Amino acid sequence: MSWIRNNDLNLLQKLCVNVLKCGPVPRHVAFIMDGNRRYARKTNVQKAEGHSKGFDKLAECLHWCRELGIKEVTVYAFSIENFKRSNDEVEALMQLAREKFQKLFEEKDKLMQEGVCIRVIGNLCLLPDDIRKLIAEAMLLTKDNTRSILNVAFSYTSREEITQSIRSIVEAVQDKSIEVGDVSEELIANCLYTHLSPDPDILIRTSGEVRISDFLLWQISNTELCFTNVLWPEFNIWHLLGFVFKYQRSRCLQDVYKANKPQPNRNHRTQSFVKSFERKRIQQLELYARA
Amino acid sequence: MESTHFYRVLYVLVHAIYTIVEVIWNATLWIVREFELIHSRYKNVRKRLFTLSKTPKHLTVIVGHDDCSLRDLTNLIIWCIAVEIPYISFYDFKGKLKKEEERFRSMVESQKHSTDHIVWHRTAGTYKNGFVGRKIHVKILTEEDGRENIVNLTKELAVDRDRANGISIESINGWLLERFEFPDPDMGLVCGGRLHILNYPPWQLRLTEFFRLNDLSNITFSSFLDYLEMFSKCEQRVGT
Repeated sequence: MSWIRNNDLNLLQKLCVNVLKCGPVPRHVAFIMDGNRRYARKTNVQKAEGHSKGFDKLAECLHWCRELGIKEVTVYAFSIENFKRSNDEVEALMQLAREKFQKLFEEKDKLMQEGVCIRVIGNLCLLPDDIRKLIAEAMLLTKDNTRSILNVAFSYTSREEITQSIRSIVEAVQDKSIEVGDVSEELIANCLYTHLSPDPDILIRTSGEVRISDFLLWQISNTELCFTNVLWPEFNIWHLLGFVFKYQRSRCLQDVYKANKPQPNRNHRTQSFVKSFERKRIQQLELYARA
Repeated sequence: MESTHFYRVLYVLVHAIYTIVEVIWNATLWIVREFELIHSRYKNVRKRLFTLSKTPKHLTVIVGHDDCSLRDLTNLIIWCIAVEIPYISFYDFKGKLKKEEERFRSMVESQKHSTDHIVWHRTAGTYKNGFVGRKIHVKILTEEDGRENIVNLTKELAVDRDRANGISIESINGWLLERFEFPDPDMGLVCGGRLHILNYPPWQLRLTEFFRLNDLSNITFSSFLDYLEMFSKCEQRVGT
């Protein structure tokens, strides 16, 4: 199953999409795609099959988001904690990632034509060499696409991300690129894996769990959290439309809150640090891609 | 052009209808609740308490956009003592609660059972030891306890080479815990119409189970128990 899907919506779905598009639509939606294994148990198939179904659902969901005008999507695909699962399951998940990233290159033209940018957020060092290489290549290939952005959290936890950000900033102060006084919330955000993305407007977690499980903790300070009992492979467009509708209803509250936030101020020194940090990231990816 | 107008009309209509339905629904719920209140106030409470398989160690209450009365918050503290929840915190992003802390404190002191002990965490070193009876730790949180703490920690580490060499998820967690004083909340009650965490200290929310509380005013012990029952059904796998 491929990354880009263009299955048509039926008339009623199209109508609803068009109606919702008259109001504010979230710019960025995050998903915790939970319930693949429970789905496998429920339908009596192998775990790996459940995960594969989960990926198909992701492709479908991306299509719905594009139709709705949601520009950016972030998904929690694999947590660092997931390495603790059985060897078989971790290996099956890695194999799935391997296949899907290879598939991505086969669909290169379609991807570029649709303007899809793929970013993997997480600690790539923990991954097998070949997957890391594939990921780096995919990111470099699509990095200038802007029409639709997909962030895949892979080998990710939020605490690890915040720790890495703190570490980079501490190092930068130590080698005198910035001064202690420059450290701010904004600077920490700028050194997170997600530094290129606006904060998500809604976070959807499927399969009935009601916690965030170390996902985007820093970024969801003003995000609407949506928990639903449906298992991820059974998630459908009506669930998504429902959440967008709810989001539209709570918009006025969010605006009030945002107005209270202080405006960030950045000096020249911090700006050039952030720029060079960004450059280093690209260089690192190029290194991985050549490996 | 024609069709965009059509969609817009539908958009307004759908939202309007939803608003009306919502109002009616809330009114019905209110009536049902009042009815239940009169008829089954303390029924089965003891039995229900007995069936809770676990209770949270740290309950955090996120006060939303609407103001809440100190009386309701006081009730929550008293109930937490009753079900032996050792830590409770209140997060108010507007900072209003912090300003009313003195009043809140005296209200709780006047309501609690004389042998119960309430440890208020405001400044470091507020502990009192050597008492008998039940104990609860209470803390009022503001935005400063969150991201600002992480910024301050980063600043400290930046000028302290020894500590900077030991940066890891565990060490950062330890240092932040020293400032936060409370264990990570395992249960969060979010008050208001939507589940927004409103800039709550991010690091601590890793495994918090969230429940939305439509309206904190007039919350009853029985409905508080409903939430505790939901919490006790949550099962955590932590990645595996």
